[in-house]
Amino acid sequence: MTALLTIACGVVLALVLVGWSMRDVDSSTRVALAAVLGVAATAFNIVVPIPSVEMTTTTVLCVAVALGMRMGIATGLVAVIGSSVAGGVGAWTVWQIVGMAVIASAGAAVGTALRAARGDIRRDGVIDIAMLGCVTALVTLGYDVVVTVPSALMLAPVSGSTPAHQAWTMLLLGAPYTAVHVVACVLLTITCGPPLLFTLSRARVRLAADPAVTAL
Amino acid sequence: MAAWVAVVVVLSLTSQPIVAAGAFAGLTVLAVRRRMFRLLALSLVVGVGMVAAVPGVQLVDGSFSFIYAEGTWQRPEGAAHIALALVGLLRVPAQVLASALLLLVPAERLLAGAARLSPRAALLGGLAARAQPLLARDLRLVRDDLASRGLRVGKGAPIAERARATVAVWEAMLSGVLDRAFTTAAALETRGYGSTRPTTAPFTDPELTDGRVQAPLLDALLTLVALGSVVLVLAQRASGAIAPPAFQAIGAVPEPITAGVVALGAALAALGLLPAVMSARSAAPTKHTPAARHSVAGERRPDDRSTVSVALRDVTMRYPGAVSLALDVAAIDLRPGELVIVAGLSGSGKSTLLDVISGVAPRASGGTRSGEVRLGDHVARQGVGRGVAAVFQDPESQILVGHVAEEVAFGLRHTGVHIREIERRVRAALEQLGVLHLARRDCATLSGGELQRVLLAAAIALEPAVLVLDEPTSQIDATSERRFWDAVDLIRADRGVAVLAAEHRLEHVLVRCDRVLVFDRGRIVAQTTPAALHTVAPELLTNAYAGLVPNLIAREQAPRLTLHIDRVEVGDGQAARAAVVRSMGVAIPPRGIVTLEGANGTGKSTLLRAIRGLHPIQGSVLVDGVDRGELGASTRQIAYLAQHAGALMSGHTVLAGAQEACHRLGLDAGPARAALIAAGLGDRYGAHPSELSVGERQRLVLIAATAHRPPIWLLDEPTRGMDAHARRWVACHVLAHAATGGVVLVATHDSAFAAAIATHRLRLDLRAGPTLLAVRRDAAGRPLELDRDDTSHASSASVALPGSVT
Repeated sequence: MTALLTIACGVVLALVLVGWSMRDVDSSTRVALAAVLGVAATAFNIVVPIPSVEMTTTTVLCVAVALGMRMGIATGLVAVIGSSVAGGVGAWTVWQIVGMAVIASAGAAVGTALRAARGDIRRDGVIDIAMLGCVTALVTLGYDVVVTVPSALMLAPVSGSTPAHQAWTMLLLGAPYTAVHVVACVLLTITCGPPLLFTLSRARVRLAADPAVTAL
Repeated sequence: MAAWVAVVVVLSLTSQPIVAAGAFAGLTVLAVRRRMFRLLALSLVVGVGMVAAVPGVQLVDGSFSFIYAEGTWQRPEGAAHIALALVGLLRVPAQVLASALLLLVPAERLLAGAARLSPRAALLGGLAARAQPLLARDLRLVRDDLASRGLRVGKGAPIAERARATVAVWEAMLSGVLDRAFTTAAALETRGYGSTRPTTAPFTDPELTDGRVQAPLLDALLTLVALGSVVLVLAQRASGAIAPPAFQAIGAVPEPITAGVVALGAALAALGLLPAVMSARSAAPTKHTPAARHSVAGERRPDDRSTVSVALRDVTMRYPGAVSLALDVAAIDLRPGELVIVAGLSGSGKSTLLDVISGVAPRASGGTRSGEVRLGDHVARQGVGRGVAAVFQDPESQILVGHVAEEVAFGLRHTGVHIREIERRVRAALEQLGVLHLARRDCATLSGGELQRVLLAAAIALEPAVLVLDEPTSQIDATSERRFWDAVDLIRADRGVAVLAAEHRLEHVLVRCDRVLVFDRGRIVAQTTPAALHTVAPELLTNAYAGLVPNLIAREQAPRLTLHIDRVEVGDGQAARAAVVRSMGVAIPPRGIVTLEGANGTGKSTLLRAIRGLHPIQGSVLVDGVDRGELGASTRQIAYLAQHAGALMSGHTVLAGAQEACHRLGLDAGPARAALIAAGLGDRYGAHPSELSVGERQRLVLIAATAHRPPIWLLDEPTRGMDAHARRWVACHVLAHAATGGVVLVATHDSAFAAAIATHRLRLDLRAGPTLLAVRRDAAGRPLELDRDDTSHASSASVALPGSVT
């Protein structure tokens, strides 16, 4: 697989995801929420300007848990583009969008499962922080793999390695950063996730009047 | 910018194509930063077309080689090679051209271009871009609030404290984010978002847009570049000897990939063509759809006054999870040209009525509605929606586009009105409200009063039958407020629009209105004329501050606040710095209640932040002759209530929010609990702060800021959005504090509040400088006309005011 093919796949995937998520922002509340939540996620980095410590993963996960996958992707899209303004746009940007979709799909699955089992994402009015932390760890790992592997595929022809070898090398070299990223995201989800989910539950109640909510 | 262009040129000439691709990435970042999405699309096309598919230029052995063939860089041979090489050189001017266009193309053009490709994505991006500065402002307010209460967020604070502060900031941000999103959603809802595919054709009227580069030219350019890319790739494949250098740089190029590049180029060409096609289509006269026809209320004339604009029958509204009805109305009729005021205390159902009529409820608010809402002959199932326009409280959250003319056009575009008609109505609306000169400005540069008039123009451009106003003047100064209502009167007279407005400050609108609906617990308890309101609902007309007089007897032991301010500036590195206060020396005595007066933008809020230590200041702030010291050290001495603080609260419950300040200062939680009871919030201990009304929130943050009873209070618009009861409570709270010897500085547009509590007035004027005036009162405590003999220009010297003014 060549670099161009990798980039092309990323672009196609990202466009499909963006197009699909945009179908769901036809209600005024949804588009307004996705815009401000995505910006809020990036604004958090102003308060905590530490590399690998960012609120995007937590925000997208919680949005998807509370409001569904499409809203999660739309929020992630805004956050990725917002953070790219500061961090630069490149081939990785499209894979970041794909990574956000991975997080959003996991979050939506968790939300759906919790509501099916308990009728609510909370148990006796309390968010299951341990469960949320575990899910965050998994999706953060997944996100890092999604963003790292395509970079490896693009570099493989240049380095002369096989794509698989290059991917493993990059994943191993990036392990410390990934570990920091995972720990930071878990901590942020544990501390900032519950108020976010509480706030989003207010939004979900409002969206109950929106026919699109039935599609969640 | 010039330096950046030079870097791009040098990189393109001397480096591998992959590096040039990096330069394109830089261009992309720049385009995103400047929100020039149309140019972004152009640069991407140029990037893909030129870098990936066109022969490159490289410096080899001290001379330029143009063609990469058979594994080496070669000088071009033959006409075909030379032609391709020359075209390859186009990459450089294309980059320069793209950079130049960044400076030339107005942002609204680029957004409009993006909207043609994906209106929703463009709107989402636009809203996010506009939310960014607002959230940054919120963030500053939250950090100010936390810092003024002793919790440091920035560098120097222990990690644990920073972590706690970070979570508190996040909670408060979320509170504000959601409210902002709901207001924006309401604005979208009332301006037709989602009703039909929007009209995307650009303005041609030079008074409404910059017009430096016409959109058709851009369309043509975009199309040309994209098509050129495709042709080049095909020509390259046909020649057979040349492999794209970018491909060679990163690996072998299988045939399917080249085909993919061609397909991508074709797709981009189609994208380039699409806007031109859309322009051609939208330039042609279109037939109005039923929905669009309904929205074109211009077909209705002011002489339709005999008809009913809007009628409600047996309408109820229940919010999700609520036990009781938020609205229960048997019948309301509004006639063309009428101004009907909806009055009542906070939580009485005023806003719910307006939301139901405007269609915001239940579509954007959730809940269920029953009964019939009829607009003329049209029965609305989910709310009246189209045909009803609205203006809400917070102007900044209602801005959807940013560019003034496009903002006014937003609703028209989203209801499928033809571009020529849009231009006509936008111009007419702006002209009627006297803001046509602002048409080409960015909304971010307008004052609050100007913004509200622009939003009013956006509402009337829809030519609605009914205009709904939900406390539209609560955040603007008195002059702007008068101009706003004058404009409303003009609209009623000229266009026959029925206006339904909710207001707390009735004194400003009663003289203009035809009827008053008095609400309580979601029901109409009285329907009367303004003249009869005195007898029907006297409590609504009672002066909120009646009988309140500042205690003017000085206490020697109380603190004295002295301000020696040489200069306070606003602005940062990017914005022009300007002095808002110069050479001010003021000694405020114990029990002094000083109201800061001045129009929006004269520096009232900045001065308060500077005194608190949250804004740089040249000079000194002395408390009892001692410098107030560092921010942390002065926490016990000075309380600060920021603007909008009520919308940004941390804490899971009301009690927790109030106790925060006490805990941070190491105090017992007792004062917070007692203050909550005194503020009438004793039964709301367990509620989430977001569930409180605006007035209740403002009371809560005031309690949180002053629970530890610091001697000096700095309050920025403390009565904003409050009903009469809440405003009176604030006034009593301030007077009680001053009575114990405290000092209070208040920035407020509420002239009645200022008149009731002030012992002194500090008038801020950018030209004349600050002026301090003592307030004289008669025997009953009513303020007399200001005595000019007591007027002192504070800029001349330090002005020590008397301890008591009688």
